[in-house]
Amino acid sequence: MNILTITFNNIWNRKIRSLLTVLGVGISIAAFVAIIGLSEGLKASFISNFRSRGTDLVVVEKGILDILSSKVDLSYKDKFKAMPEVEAAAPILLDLYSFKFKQFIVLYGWEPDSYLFKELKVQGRLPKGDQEVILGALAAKRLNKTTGEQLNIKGKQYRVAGIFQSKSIIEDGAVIMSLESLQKLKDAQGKVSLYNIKLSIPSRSKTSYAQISESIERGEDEIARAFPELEVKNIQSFISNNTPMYMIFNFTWALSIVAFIIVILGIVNTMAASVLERTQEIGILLAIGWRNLSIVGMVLCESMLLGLAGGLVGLGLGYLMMNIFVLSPQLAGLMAMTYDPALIAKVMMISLGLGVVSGVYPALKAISIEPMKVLRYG
Amino acid sequence: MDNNILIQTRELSKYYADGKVVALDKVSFSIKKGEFFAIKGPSGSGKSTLLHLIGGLDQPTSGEMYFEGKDLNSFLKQSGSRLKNIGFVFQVFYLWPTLNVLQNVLLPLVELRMSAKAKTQRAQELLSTVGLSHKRQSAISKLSVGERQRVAIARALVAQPKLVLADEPTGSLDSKNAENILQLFKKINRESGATIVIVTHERMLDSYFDRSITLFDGKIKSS
Repeated sequence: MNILTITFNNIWNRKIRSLLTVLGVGISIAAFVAIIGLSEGLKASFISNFRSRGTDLVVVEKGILDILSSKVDLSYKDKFKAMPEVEAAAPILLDLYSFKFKQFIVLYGWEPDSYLFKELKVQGRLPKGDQEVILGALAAKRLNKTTGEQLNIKGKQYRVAGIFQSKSIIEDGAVIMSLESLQKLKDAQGKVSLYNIKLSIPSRSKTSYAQISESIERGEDEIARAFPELEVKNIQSFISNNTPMYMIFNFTWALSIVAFIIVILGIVNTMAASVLERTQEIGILLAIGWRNLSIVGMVLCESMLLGLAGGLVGLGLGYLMMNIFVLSPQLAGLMAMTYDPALIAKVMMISLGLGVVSGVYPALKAISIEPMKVLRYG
Repeated sequence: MDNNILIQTRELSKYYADGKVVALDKVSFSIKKGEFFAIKGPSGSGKSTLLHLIGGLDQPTSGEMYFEGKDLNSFLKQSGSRLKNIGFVFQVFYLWPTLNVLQNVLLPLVELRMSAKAKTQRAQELLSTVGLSHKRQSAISKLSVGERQRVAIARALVAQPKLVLADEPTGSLDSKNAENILQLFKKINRESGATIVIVTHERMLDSYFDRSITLFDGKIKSS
């Protein structure tokens, strides 16, 4: 028998209270898993969206709040292409359209000769003129459309010329039309939302990650110096510093801190009640010679186990919630369900940490018990 | 100081309520190593207070206490010192109801660096000594009062302390069980050599002890 046996015994003999505490911790941790998982998943989706196209840099209007409000002249395309560092520059116009109530679908306007089309596997053909669109496989499923059918966007009819598959879930859930078509639809003639830039990096597949990163950094500096009126970013920094994304991250962390405080209060309450209930038992342990350190160890061990159990329950519930959110009409097509080992490890570490923090006060209460009072008053 | 003395007190006093209640008044006595010793007296005479002071669970208002010639309180502050030197048997047993018999006896050993096998073996030997080896897996709630007291005795002895302090260990028992428990203490005292100090208010038990003191109103009336 050791402290762990006694701890399990304590938890087991207060099943209902322990279970309720674990559930309380689990629900708070689940909220953390879901909101952090969703925001990280969204970030990963955006990064994969750019990477799947082979994009190295993104150019947007300077000082914009969100990418949808960015407007950059189409005339920059030739200026970028003239730079020796640039292999290809793809102008993209973006819009978000709600086909049904709260069922948002991303609209892309691409130039017909854009390098972006090379990465798509199209069944049917690419859109011709300004009356045709192609649908990502997920978008086709959500809109229930197949090749040859008509699609109404903002009151205009478009023929579905093909269905494509993309490595990026955002593209897979999107509608692509010619740049000109979307410019007309959005009333943004001569403007694009952003440029995707592919840099000239010779023998890219044989070059190390560090060397590619160095080339991208150099290209970023060159373009930023040549066009100080524009915002030039590499993918990672563009996504991380994107204002709405940044706000989402801060908001999710703020919510998580509230959830953690609830967890701490829950465990402190359970453990303090447990210590109070066991005043006699703890007093006797001190009387028979247990050291304060062992009493502290016993209480902390119990709160850590409650925290860990809550963490496991929270992971299960959190991923269940994430699955439900990802499949919801609001988020379908924006992100894929991922099980991030780093997030799982983070959650378990946080649960353990919360258990330790929550156990400190009850542990101090436990060692302040005077065996004499227990013997005198029972 | 005599090397044969385990516990010595000098003018030990304990007052409560700002000195209005005198629990012990300048009590001086000694207990030899290996003695089977009784502290007797009527209820409220200060017996339990004296036992708690000797066990380091309470502090005296004035006076001195020595354990093998060392200041008792300083000695017990050393890590693990209480566990290795003093075992307690309480009147109402104070067993853990959620642990079984063997686990209750093992409780003090959690603190000691021994293999799990050695700990279990020692606990089982003691359960055998107190006649409860067949009930080692039993729940405490399934035991009779006398059996519970035997578990408490085994728990007090398991860390092999030099001194065992028992506060009215027969107080909750009928006369037959009380006699059995005293015989058990006597046997343990003889076989293990541990010094055993028992607090009792029962006069008829004199014959069991090597020596005793009788307290009355906090003072030693006879020794």
